[in-house]
Amino acid sequence: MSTGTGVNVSKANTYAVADSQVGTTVSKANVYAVIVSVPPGVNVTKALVYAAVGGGLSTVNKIEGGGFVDSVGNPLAHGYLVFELSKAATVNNTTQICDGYSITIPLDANGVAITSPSYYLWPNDALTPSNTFYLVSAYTAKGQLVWGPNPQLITTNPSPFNISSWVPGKIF
Amino acid sequence: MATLWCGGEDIDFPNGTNTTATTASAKFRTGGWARCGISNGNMVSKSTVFPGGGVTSCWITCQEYIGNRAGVFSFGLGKSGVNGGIGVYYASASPFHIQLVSLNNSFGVTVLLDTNISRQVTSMHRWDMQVINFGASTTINLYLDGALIGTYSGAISIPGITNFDSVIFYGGGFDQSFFSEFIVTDVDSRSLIGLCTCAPNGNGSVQNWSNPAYTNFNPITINDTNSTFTNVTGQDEQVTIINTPAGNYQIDSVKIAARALNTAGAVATQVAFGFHNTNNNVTAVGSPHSLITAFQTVEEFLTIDPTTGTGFGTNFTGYQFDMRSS
Repeated sequence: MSTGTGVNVSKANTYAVADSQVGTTVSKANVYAVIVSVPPGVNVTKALVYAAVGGGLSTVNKIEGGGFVDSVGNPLAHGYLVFELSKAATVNNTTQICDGYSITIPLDANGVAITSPSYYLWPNDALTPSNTFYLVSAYTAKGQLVWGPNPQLITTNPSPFNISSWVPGKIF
Repeated sequence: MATLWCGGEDIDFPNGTNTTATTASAKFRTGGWARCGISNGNMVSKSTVFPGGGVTSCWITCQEYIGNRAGVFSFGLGKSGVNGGIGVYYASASPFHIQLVSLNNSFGVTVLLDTNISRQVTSMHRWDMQVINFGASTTINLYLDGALIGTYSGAISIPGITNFDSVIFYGGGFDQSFFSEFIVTDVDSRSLIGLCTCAPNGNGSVQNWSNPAYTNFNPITINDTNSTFTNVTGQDEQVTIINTPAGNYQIDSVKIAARALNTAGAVATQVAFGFHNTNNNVTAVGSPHSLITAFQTVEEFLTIDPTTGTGFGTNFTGYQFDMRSS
């Protein structure tokens, strides 16, 4: 292959940079949706009702007070009280209370039921049948009967139960 | 008399690590009381906060199926936002005495009292614990199955805790203990027979909400993928509930707990709780509760029956639980 004198051109190309369509062009488009995991509005996944149940478990009530004296005001010092339940009864649908026992509660120097140690009795209003009572007697330190026997009630309230509030022989 | 807090399922303990539940009948009181026992094999579960705030004196009672674990915390009282508390502990060495302990902020144990009573494992037991004047001169009386087994008197100091507003428990990993029927009260808890879980057990008279079947919101274990819902205000959703067990007693107080949310921009954003009483055909709900956009436990404590204006009676015969959107 020879070349001539002066300018020689062996190959000539014309390149055109091709544009896309005239105007705005979109080659890819996505729509993203953030999905809420629950339907709109108020949602409830768990609901409960709790009932705290009480009032059925009766307990023994602490005995205090008394202040037993004689007719001139001398305390029934170091005497004692004897309680006998009038009839057998049940409590809490679970417990049988025997009526054959006599419960003795000592009195202190002032004729007051001692509280150290404390003494407890089932309140009559917690018992079934509903018409029970205690037959209560008071004795001197020498064992002489000086009060009663009188029918008396122990109630659930107040607690402790103060036997100074008794009216002798009055139960209803 | 006031119930300060009560509960017994996962919905009531959202503030600690997750609880697990069992329906094995030996591990809670059946017969209409609880429907599961809850435990925690990892760390301490912590309850919602007492609605009346922190207390320094109270009683707490619960039922526990005592597992065969030693050196573990059982249950007690804690404080929101702070680790630690006081409660029952099972000693790590034979004969595995029941102890009263305090827990510091790292759950380190300080023994307050060794009762000299050995725990009785794999059986159900009732606890009653009385706390008087927590702080410099605290008294704690602990009763197991109704019997006083120990009294602690003295100072207790736990950093960041000056009162208690939460219930805490720990199940102890494998051979777990399981708990149920928690009640915190300001009176002698021994006078309470227990806590009845009155879960939805049937569709009620009015079901305005979507996905309304009671089975969509009465799971034993929380399932946030299924809900009943509405975006319309003033809509009632009613379901029948498990009745209280037969017996000679009164319903002392009631708590309603629901796990709920609202979605952002919704029309219905609140929910109120109450009852539809078929005995007098009265439907009454309380004030609406505001919700947030994440599921949370919403609670309401009642001592007055909104359908009668008096105290609750002996049972829930004829009562339906009602949720109303607003």
